[in-house]
Amino acid sequence: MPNTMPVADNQPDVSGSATPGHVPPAEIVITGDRGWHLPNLAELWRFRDLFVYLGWRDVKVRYKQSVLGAAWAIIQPVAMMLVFTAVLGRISNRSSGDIPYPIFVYTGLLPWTLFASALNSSANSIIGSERLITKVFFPRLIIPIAAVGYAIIDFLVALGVLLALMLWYKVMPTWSLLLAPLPIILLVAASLAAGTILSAFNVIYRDFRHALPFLVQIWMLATPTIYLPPAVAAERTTSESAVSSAATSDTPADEKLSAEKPNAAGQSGAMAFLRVANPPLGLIRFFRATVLGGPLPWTELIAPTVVSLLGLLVSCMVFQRLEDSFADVI
Amino acid sequence: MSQPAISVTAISKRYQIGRAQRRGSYRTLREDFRKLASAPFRWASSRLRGGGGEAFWALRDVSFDVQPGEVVGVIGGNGAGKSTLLKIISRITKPTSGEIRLRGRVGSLLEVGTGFHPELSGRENIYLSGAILGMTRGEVRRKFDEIVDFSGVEKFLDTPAKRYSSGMYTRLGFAVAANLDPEILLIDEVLAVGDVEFQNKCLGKMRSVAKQGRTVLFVSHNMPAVTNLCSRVVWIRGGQMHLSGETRDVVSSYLQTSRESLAVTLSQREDRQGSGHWRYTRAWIGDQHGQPINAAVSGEPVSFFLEFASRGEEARASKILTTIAIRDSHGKILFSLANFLSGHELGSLPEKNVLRCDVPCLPLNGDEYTCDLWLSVNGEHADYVLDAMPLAVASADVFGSGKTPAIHKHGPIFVKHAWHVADDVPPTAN
Repeated sequence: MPNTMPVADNQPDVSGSATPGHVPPAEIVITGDRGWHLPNLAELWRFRDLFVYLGWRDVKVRYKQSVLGAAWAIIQPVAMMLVFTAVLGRISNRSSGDIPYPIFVYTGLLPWTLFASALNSSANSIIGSERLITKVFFPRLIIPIAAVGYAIIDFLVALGVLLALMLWYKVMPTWSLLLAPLPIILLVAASLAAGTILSAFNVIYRDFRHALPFLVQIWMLATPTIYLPPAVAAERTTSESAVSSAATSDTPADEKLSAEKPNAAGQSGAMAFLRVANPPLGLIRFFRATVLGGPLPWTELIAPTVVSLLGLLVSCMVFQRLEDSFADVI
Repeated sequence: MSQPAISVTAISKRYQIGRAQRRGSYRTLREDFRKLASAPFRWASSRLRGGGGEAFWALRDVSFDVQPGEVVGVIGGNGAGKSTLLKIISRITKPTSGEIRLRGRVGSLLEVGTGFHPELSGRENIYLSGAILGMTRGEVRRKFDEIVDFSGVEKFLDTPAKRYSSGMYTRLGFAVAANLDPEILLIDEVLAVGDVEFQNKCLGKMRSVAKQGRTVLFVSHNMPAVTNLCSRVVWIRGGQMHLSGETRDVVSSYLQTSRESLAVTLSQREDRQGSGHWRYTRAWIGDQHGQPINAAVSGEPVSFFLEFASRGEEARASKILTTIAIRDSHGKILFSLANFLSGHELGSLPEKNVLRCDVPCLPLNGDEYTCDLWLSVNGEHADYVLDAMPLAVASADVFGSGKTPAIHKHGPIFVKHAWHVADDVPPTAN
């Protein structure tokens, strides 16, 4: 070994005072090894307070010098709801059955806004934390995960509007409302899966920062369940394939999900692909069903659950593979 | 004897020149696509090895051990790799090869006020910074009073940190970090900021940390602080371990060499103007006793030493006109020290001399400056070297008021002054 110095010679023995009757401290080994690792949950847990503080910092700072403060959390989905109602409300009114279009579209926009803003903030979180990355060590995964904190807070605030809408339109909640957190948790997992990996790519290629708003927009279009009542979707499909769908107009909205499937091969092929590849699609449908009542589309939940959780794991592993170079590249 | 608290074994760190030099100028996809198109195999292999291009070794084969309870200083010139070393030990960046073993909880302090957010209050920042540095909420709560006490900002705890003076910011930041309870503490240059009183407070705190048997690795330019604190010093030079041993030996050898290397660069520089019959060969700064120093202190006496020598037959120099022009980091000349301005005749001198210029009170605020040197001998413009010598100035409490002038707000120069109400001049009636 080249020039390893034995430094102990002239050193007074202080080891006794250093750790009096202590268990030997944990040993950290630092090497140049770069490989694929599963997320170190024990280490993340040790830094659990940091999740809270970073999330809380974002919420606090975001509203600190804005006049409307938390109202911004409501303004975005409500404005979108009004726009969609103005544009699509009329054509869908007759087809969304007994569900008023505003509440229909809001139950889609609410989880979508959560997904989109969580994705957005977590994807931009690493490049926004340059000072931390270059000056202090902690598990980097905390940054993109903590970044979804304020999106969740915004979601909870905007949930108030949903309750108001339900009162206004006299939509009675059912017991299935208790299941609403399930698709929301999975939706957060899905946004983290995309956000975490993008946050790492963003460090290396800033192109992703420019592509992100575009990606989110496309993604929304690829999630028609947000704004398009299934009946409308079904009608469009059926008119193209010249198959009569007169019977569908008086069935409840959620049962029509299945009505879309058997139609035109190309269309249903694309839908089947989206159903698997686009977790928000099924998760938003499930969320809407828990809120508005009716049968829960459990089968819609399978693919999103698998894709989100698996995606999250892969995303974390890719992130950890790349994180070693953050401090050098950022 | 127990195992070392830190063992560094053959650590190397390679940067890609392009990336290391153009920090912050990240790649774009287009660039990589272009490279991919032009040479797919080279691109692929270089991506796998972590980037292509020329390599630069920031650290090469550095090994040393630190025993528990030892305070070890790491010194070296700018770009020698000492900060890279600290970043690797702090786990901020990974080594290219080699291995480090840390036995104990590690706290690192690479800047003051890590994680502070300007919009948050002092109180909130204490919790946030504490969490970022690795404390749990309970630990911060237990230490809260101690932190506030040490920082001396209790009156402003609920004021947003952006309204803090830079001194308050620094004090609060250090207070949080100083109350970390790690077994191994890694510190980088933090003592370079803050006024002298606060620096002493920090030194005291670090000494007491060391007395408690904790291990400290202290990277610094500040030789007095290193001498004061460390029992042993590791000198990193050009990315390699140059020397290590007793503090006094290593520090004096370091100071000697840094003076010599400066002299070498000055005497060997060819980008100079003038006849060249007489040239400056060495230039350095010293304290009031003439001892060479690496940095001057704002408001303190400082002496400039200029050695010049004949390069030809001429044995004697007379009619010597000499000037030191001090520039700020933007290249603007702030003031000049010139013997023909001050009216000091230097007489007739032999072929090799050292001139000394004493400044009783250096009127510069803390920053990095440079000096141009100009020389005229026997009525002939002999030598003119731009940026001949760096001049590092450490901030200090120059007014004795506890306030340190900040260069970006108050300018590079401070002037002693007094304020009072002009009793004898009545204000105008309207």
